[in-house]
Amino acid sequence: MPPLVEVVDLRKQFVLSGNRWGEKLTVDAVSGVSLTIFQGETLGLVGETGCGKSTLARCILRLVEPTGGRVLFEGKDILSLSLRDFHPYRRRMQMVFQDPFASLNPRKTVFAILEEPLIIHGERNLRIRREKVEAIAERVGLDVRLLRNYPHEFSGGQRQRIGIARALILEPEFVVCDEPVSALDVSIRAQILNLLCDLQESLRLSYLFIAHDLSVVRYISHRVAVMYLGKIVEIAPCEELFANPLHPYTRALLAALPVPDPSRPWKRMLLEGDPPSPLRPPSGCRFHTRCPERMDICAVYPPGAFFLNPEHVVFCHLYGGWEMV
Amino acid sequence: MGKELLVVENLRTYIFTPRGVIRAVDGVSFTLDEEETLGLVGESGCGKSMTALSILKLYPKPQGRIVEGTIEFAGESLVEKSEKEMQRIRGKSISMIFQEPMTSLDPVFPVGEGIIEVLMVHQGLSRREAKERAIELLRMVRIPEPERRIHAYPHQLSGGMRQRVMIAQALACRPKLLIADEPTTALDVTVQAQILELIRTLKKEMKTAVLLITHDLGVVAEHCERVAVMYAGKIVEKASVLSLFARPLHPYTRALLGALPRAESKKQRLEVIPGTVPDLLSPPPGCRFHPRCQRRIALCFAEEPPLREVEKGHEVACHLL
Repeated sequence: MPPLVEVVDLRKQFVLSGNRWGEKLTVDAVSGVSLTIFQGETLGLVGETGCGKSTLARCILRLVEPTGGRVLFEGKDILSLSLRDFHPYRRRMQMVFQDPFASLNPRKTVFAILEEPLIIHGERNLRIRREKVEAIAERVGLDVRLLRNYPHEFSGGQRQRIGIARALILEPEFVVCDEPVSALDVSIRAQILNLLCDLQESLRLSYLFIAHDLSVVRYISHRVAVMYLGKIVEIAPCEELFANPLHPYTRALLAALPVPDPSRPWKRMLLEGDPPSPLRPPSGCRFHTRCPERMDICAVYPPGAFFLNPEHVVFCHLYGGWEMV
Repeated sequence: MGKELLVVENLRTYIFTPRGVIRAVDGVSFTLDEEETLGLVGESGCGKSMTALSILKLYPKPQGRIVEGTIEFAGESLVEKSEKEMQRIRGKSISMIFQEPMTSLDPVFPVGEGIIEVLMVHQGLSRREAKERAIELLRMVRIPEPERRIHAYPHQLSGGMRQRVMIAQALACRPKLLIADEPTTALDVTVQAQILELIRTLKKEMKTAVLLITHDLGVVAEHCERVAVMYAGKIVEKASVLSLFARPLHPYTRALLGALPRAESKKQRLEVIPGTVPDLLSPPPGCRFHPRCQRRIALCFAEEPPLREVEKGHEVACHLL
């Protein structure tokens, strides 16, 4: 089966203001990312702040225009389409945002927020719109009687349900969830994760699920991609990644995760330093400045792909594969 | 372990607002031994930060007030202390680090200034001595090139570096108690691990007790010896970390642990706590958890359960036990 979404060598470069000598500063937020997402699948995307995971997601949806690469949706290159031709694709790919406080318009009622996508996509009949809004509200567990209220009257968890309803009202096939549970408390987070799983099963949705919390990603994903400073360093099926992480960064991320089990033997693999600034990414392998297993070659050449098996790919010199510059 | 350093008894800190009285901390009791790490866990708005602020009397004034209870620190009662006396304690024998290191460092001063000031005020050092000591402290928290970084402004440092500066400042006078209020919530996982590890080593070196406030049960499991679980202004369960994770007794604690996605629960449904955290302006009567509790009985609506010791060192506030 061909993938629903295929991302090939996607790049996004932001140009910052020039300095006083007229040199332009650029940030490679996403530099050459390739991945695939199949129907009904959740691809987890993990990485630390500033590694470009949100930019990648927005590029895939064309919310920001990528500077290079291709995004294929059902085999069709959506980046080459004009915005008018792209419009029908928009209803098939939607997004749930992190902050349920900032992503809902405070001056609109929940009903107005939920019907807006329908209006944009040409649904003129109010009765149909009302039916659809009420159906989706019920589906995500919102009280239909509260649809005339404003977002501030809802708790964080309820607001995230509104955000999910807004994303799903157009019956998309592909939904990007950008840290949808990071702002929520543990007990509420479980409710939202369960809801996302249920919806995926009943609607055959595909998710790109972005998070920095590995335990959440592990719970919800079928496959996981690990990102560091604009590049993917490892992709593997979820259980395999957690059982057999190959990239030193993946291992460090896993080791840094606090585990709620005090009887577990003490382990530590601490990374030195902070993630480097994406303004001046390190040469060669971008992780080499913090890597506990760096070799001479790491500072010189970026590592190429090494396939442990067709599903598990890692970009690291430890495993041999390398890419000529 | 050592002897009791901090004894909090039946603490009630209320905040008086035009909309009514917020019972942020409502009858909280706990003790903290010397050199011990106690975790205070709970969801947002459960009163864990307000408990910490009450110890240092840093709650919002004049709206906030300790209406009842005692706080005894190293044999001295803190509740009766005047503002002036509290100033001699803050930063010297009790220090605090906060969640957001950007907002708790003054953006218009170099980061070293804060440390130098603490040392000059509390230890009577001259400026030059204080500066030398501050450089040592920055080195202790593993900031590279401390001689240079002491002149850096907060915005020039990364989040992890800022939190290190906060720790250096908090530990400058070798306090007996360090209160860490969500010290790593704003940081990335790899940096969080570094900071927690740093707190752990320095605590050992300096023989400091730590009150670690967090919402992350994983952090508690790895870094605390004992833990108190708070819900809606009250402590619902108190135990050693091993005993709490092995045998959680309060339905809220059990539900919290059940709501965590774990390796073994893959693709099973997560346990859910229905409803949301109650509004502390009008908390529910009886047991505050009863509206969300799966196992409530009639008594839970009417009567508030007291905190009772059910096993040695394991206390629970629940009618079922």
